[in-house]
Amino acid sequence: MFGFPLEQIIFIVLSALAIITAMGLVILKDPVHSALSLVLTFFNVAGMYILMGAEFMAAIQVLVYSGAILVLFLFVIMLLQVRPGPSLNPLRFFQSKFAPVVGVALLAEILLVILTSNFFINGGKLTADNNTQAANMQKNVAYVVSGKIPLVDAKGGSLVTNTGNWYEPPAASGHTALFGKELYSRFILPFEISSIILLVAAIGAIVISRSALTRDPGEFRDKRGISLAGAPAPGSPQALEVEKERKLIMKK
Amino acid sequence: MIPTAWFLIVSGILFSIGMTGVLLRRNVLVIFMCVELMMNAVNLTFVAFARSFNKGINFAGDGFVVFVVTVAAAEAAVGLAIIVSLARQQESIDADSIDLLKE
Repeated sequence: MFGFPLEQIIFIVLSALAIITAMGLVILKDPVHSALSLVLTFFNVAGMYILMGAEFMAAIQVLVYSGAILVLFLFVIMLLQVRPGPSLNPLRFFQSKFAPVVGVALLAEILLVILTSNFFINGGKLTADNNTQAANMQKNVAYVVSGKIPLVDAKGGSLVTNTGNWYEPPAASGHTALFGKELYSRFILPFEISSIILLVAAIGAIVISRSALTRDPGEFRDKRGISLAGAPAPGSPQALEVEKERKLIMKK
Repeated sequence: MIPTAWFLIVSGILFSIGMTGVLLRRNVLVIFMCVELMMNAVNLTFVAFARSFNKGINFAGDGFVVFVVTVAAAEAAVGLAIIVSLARQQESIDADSIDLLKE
């Protein structure tokens, strides 16, 4: 189709959607819309991981990012009653003009680095000539894994010259099984440390938000089920709800 | 076959968009979301390079991604707790109104 392999067409569609939704995150006024747009970006990036043959990364992308972190964001938006405010209009002149310029400059730099790199010029091929450091690194990695210095691989091709840009998953086991073995052997110490980090973060989050809870002399302290942020903002749906309930109580 | 450079370009674009958002927006929550987007772009680079270099023997890039995701989750929990307590204290999550240390 259009002279491209199917893989590349899927990639182009995914990346275009990811970029459009990422721009939606920046441009949309309502924080809820921004968050939902970010969910779409995360899903498209997960699709790219699948295209790369990294199913486990796609799984944790969907589960952790769009499943856990974004739900957390939406909960906080709900609790704080963030209303769609003027997001871009009353910006200070410097900020509104300077930020896109800096963004475009950074993008130009990144593209310059990528387009002049061996990945682009050489079609992604990594050879001993054009990138000795990377080739040596790959040789060392093969040495560490196999225990002997490899000069040729099983098919007789030199290991120093990589065929380039693609990872061919072994036929017998998938990426997840191999990575699981690696995670519980080579990365066991960072794995345990990350569990401690998660524990500390959970305790820290509870402590920080609890101390704020006890200090809050909200007017509707008994109406915590409706709003955690003190009196709801006038005009918001929560305020109308509270007003309705108050009228009911007054009738009684 | 998708060239590695394509993934790098997409990741660079996503990172620049995230950085522009951090500079442009004033809502603290949206700034935080843009930081998450930047982390995601970096993860994409990690996985692309891991796929490009390793031939199935080296999982350092994948390991990095897993730990970046873990730290991002922890950071989101603590950061959102800070934002909640901040909003309780001054009824606004506008980045410009957070100037307690200024006076």
